[in-house]
Amino acid sequence: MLKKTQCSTLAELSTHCVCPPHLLSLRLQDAVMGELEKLFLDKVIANLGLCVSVYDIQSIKDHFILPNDGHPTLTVVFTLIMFRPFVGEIITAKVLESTADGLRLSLGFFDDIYIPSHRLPTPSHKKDNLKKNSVMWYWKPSEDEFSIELKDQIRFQVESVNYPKIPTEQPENSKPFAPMEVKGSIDFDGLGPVHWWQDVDEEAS
Amino acid sequence: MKILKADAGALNNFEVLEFLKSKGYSKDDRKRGMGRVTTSEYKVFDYLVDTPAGTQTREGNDEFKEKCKQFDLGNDTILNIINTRPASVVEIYAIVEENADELVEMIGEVLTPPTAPSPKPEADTDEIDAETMNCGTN
Repeated sequence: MLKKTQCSTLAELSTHCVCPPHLLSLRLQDAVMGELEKLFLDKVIANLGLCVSVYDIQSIKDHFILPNDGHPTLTVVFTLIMFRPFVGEIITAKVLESTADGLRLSLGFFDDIYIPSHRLPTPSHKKDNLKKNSVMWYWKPSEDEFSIELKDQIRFQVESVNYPKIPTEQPENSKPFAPMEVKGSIDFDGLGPVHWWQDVDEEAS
Repeated sequence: MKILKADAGALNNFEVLEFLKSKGYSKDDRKRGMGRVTTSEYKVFDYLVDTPAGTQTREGNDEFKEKCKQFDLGNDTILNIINTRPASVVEIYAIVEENADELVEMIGEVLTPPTAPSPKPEADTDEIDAETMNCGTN
């Protein structure tokens, strides 16, 4: 039975962990935990998501010492908490950038969320904001015009999560490589800047 | 590195926050930097504590999941609702369109409201929330 993935998922992995000599005085659990955190925290694993935390260590086995090594190598089975948004999930994030292509949002611990211009609420239009050197987006469903400001809290719906392959060569001045990219939409009732919809409640009641 | 189980379980925002709290993360500035804490986990903690998960309780969430059974909602939908805690029909509409009114009412009764940064203009909803919050935290 296919289980749909959830926002924060547990993933069980096994890896060979090297325990450098200077950590041998610690309790084995602590030394291994430290090494796992160094290896995985804040790193993206393709198709699994961004590692948020080491949930637990299930087993540490097979202590062996390879020739010429001054330290043991262990096989560790452990569980990680992964941040892996699912399609359809509603997430609130802050506007980081606003450009002609659309919006870029951030969660603080994850910055590669994009709302492309065609997924902004219809009808939208943009105006250049020379002072802030960015493009401002406005939604105009009727007479009133609603703006999207930098640092606004935006509620968006996840449309896709991609794990692009590491490029072999990158042209200069290009965006730093993002191993995980989330694309979203705010083209629906209740989505977009949170402050847009707080007024709607007042009118409705 | 081998991936043994890509999907060994699911956690909602509240459960991840509880886990980080048990590791020693807190909003208290004096406690920061004490014990084994990492910057990246702190960023996750800071994000989650400001979402509705920051004020939820295990009992409230379990009760909500129980009550959801009558609506025949998928697990994803329930998770979406618990994580975002919509307070009005328009907020819940993007998640689920049927039974929106009843769900919003149930949410108001069962799930603790997030600490609002600015007071909500509707006096009615505020009163209901305060009343049921007192009843709920017995």
